[in-house]
Amino acid sequence: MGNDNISNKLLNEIFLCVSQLADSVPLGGEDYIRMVFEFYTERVLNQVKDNFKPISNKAIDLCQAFIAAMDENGILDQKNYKLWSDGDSVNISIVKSSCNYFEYCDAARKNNLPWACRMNGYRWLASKYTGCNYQLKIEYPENSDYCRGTIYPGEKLSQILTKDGVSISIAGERALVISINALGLLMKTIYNAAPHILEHVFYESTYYSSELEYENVQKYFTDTYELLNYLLNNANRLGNIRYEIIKYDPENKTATIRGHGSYMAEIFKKNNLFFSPKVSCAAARGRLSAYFTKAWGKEIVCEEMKCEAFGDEFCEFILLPRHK
Amino acid sequence: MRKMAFMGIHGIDKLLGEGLAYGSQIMIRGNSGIGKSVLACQFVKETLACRDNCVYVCCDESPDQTRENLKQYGLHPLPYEEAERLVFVDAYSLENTGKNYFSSEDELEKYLALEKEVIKSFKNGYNTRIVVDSLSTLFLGRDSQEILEFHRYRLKLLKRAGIIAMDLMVDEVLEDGMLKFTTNLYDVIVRMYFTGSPERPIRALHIGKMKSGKFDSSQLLFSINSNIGIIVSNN
Repeated sequence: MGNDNISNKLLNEIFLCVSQLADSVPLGGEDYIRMVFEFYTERVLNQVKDNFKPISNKAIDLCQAFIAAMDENGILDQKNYKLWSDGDSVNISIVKSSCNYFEYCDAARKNNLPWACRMNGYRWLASKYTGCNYQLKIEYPENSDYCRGTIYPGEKLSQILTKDGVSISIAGERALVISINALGLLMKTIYNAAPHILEHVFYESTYYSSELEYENVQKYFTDTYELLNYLLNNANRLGNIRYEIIKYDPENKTATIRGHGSYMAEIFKKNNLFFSPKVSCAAARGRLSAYFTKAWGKEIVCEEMKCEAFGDEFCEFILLPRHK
Repeated sequence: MRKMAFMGIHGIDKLLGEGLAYGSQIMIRGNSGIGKSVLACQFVKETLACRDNCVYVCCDESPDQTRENLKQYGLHPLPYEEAERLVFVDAYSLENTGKNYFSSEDELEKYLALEKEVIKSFKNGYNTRIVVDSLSTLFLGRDSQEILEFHRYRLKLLKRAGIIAMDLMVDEVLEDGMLKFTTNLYDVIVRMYFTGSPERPIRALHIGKMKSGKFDSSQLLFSINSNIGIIVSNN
């Protein structure tokens, strides 16, 4: 194995480790990997800045000039890149076999790890020099020799956890981290005072907060399925539960979602909040009902058919319209 | 540890101690409009949440109306019906509505056969609970002897099969003598009634009997919340 091959192998392994890290830290996710590509692009730009000569401030010209500058510096071969514009958007096509990160992307996606494409560097470049925010959409056709990305003007949706003085924020909203014991005790206190409202407190509070969450991020998505996926993944990043869409039928407005590692199931089991074991993920039901009601514009209810609190392998939720 | 069952209403469940053994029979009796069907809806919700099967025999309202009632208290029946864990028996409609239909003109013996068949149709191996809303309607216009024989035999069968039965009885419908006799056949009796003044009636209930167990027969006041159902007051 030549030195280039070893370096390339190492690069891909390091990026896989970054993905693993992003997956294992609270609120980790693609944003952190995108940031890695942004920092990296900034560093490379500094190295090639003498050759970086865009003919205009348009996104396409910026990207083309950057690729040409990297080519001149021997960082890449620009013949493997094809760029064309579509209004303010830039389409980029890259020969898969020429991409140094190909193994990383492939392995990260196969292992269900958060990942980001190196084309995020071009997104960052366009945002930085045009002064407007750009987003990136990637197509990764299995049977093609090319990856294709589209950089388009759009607001950035941050999932990042930040700290400012004493307060931490999630996507700009002040947040707090609460241990499962503390939440369990809160639930137990509600249960002792008014057991009949416990389920409703968790169902309704989660329903209303999920409605707000949906409304806040709705504008960033044009595709409902992608929006729902984002929201469900966000619940996973927040440590609530990992959702998995098993069936999605927008025509009949029904869906089946599985949940893994439900915090509510754990709390109910730990704190003996039952007379007898039963399905217990009222908060998850509230969240899913709210998301799908918003997504499909019709009142959608959620029934939990299986639950980890019961010893099931996963929780299973059925979503369906309340009325025919 | 043996699985025990509860009704899904905290104030009542607290009085049930360790809970109800499978095969127990519960009579819910009370005035018309007191909230027996609401209690039954909560019982169905509890049944399905605890992963038991449920048969709901609709005598006073159609199965469709009962489905709507269940939705009001936060349970959409359809997924459970599709999963073959919840079955409605139509003993209300005047015309035959399908295979789980019982006509008020049919013999009670035919009802027994239908109930048995429905219970046998559950293939998942879970425990089963049955709600008859209301059994007193099923008895309307029938001969006392037929009722007594049917009742005794049915409850024996259900006990032997380990099925929890919740039978609703409207006080005004059955004769006192018949009510006394049938009361004797149940493990648990919950009596629901109005108290207070006629101008300001208050809902109350008490456990009138609990076979083989200690029970608190004190009066519990309750209200009905349109989303939650029966809420028993702390005092």
